[in-house]
Amino acid sequence: MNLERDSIKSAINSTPLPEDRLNQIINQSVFNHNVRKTKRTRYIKHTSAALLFIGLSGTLMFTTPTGQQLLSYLPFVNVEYLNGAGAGVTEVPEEAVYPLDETLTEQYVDIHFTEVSLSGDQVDIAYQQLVDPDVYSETFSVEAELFAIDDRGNRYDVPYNGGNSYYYDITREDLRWTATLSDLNPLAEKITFIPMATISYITDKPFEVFEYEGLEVDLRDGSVKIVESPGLPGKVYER
Amino acid sequence: MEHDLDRVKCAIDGDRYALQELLHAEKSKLYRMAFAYVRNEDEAVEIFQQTVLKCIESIHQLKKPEYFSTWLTRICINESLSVKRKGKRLNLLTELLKQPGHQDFSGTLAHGMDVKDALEALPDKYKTALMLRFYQDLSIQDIANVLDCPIGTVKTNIHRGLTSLKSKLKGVYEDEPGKRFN
Repeated sequence: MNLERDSIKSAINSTPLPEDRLNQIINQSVFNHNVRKTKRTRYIKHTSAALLFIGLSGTLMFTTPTGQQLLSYLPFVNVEYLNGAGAGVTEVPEEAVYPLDETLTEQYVDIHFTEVSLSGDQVDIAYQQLVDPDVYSETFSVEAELFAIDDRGNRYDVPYNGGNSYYYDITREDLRWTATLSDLNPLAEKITFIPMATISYITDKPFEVFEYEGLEVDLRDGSVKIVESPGLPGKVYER
Repeated sequence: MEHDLDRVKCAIDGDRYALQELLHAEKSKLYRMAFAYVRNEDEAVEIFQQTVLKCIESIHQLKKPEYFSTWLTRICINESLSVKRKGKRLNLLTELLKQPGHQDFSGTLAHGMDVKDALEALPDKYKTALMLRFYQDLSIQDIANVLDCPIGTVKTNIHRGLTSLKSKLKGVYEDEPGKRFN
């Protein structure tokens, strides 16, 4: 094991270092680069929902040893909607493009997410399916597709718009897809994409379905985390 | 690489001098990792620059100072893979020359291939796993955290990467006693 470590270390360390260029980048960037902070606030269009919350609000009055206390309450309202300018405000931008670089792995097909973009109530996502070249076979085809669920429990189909491959992809099945989720709930702040991959064989062998962990995207800032899959819709096995 | 936690905390709080020192300490590892992906000085420098800029922009979001080094490594890996994916550099001739079956283009290529060449020619996922394990000295668990993947996947990629590396080096070191790559 030590020989492996030493060999790899000395191999990588043999790369000459352009020290002056690197120093210049660090010294100039650290003191001259301004941190960008751009986030716009989106006001919920569905004012009826906000009015409903306001209608349900009220005040409780009770007595304690120090006197009477008033407690305002907003039943059934998520606290985060009380922040900022008032109830009914979310920090999800109306439009945004978030680059992603997250890969979910299962058996021999990886799904690599590259970008998610918001446009009103529509969410577009770009991803690539990557087939392990060690097991790639000309006799099967792979189709990775997505479903989604938001943080309020609404489920969505995410039909893909089309797929492409490029000549420098490793296997013929390393396809890049774009897919679109429509009618996003205006109160949703996070969306979890639930991928699945179907491997179909040219022979009579039945197709196989692979389930993955979920990818949760925070629509407010584009941050992501891998989460336990909320489960695929049952219909995928009936096709 | 372990850093003085107080210095990292200062950098998180906006101390640019502290950040400058931390980046100087990390620069050689970051640049050399980037170079292993793109094998080109200009692009490796570009990746390094993007890594530095992203670090400056988002260090205030770093919650655990002890993970500064692995966090920075992850940014560098993502930038490297992004540059490769965008097809900014398609050195197809080099790739062709290094593929088995094309070695007749250069009679000395097989014998001239060293660990560095073999490592750089590995698929990215194996290369990444091996560099993190044997160059950055990260634990399997830390690699899984950096790459956001299960521990089993890390172990598989290290195993397959080493197997592939040994296979590429077969005939180079095996014939020379004392230089066997095991």
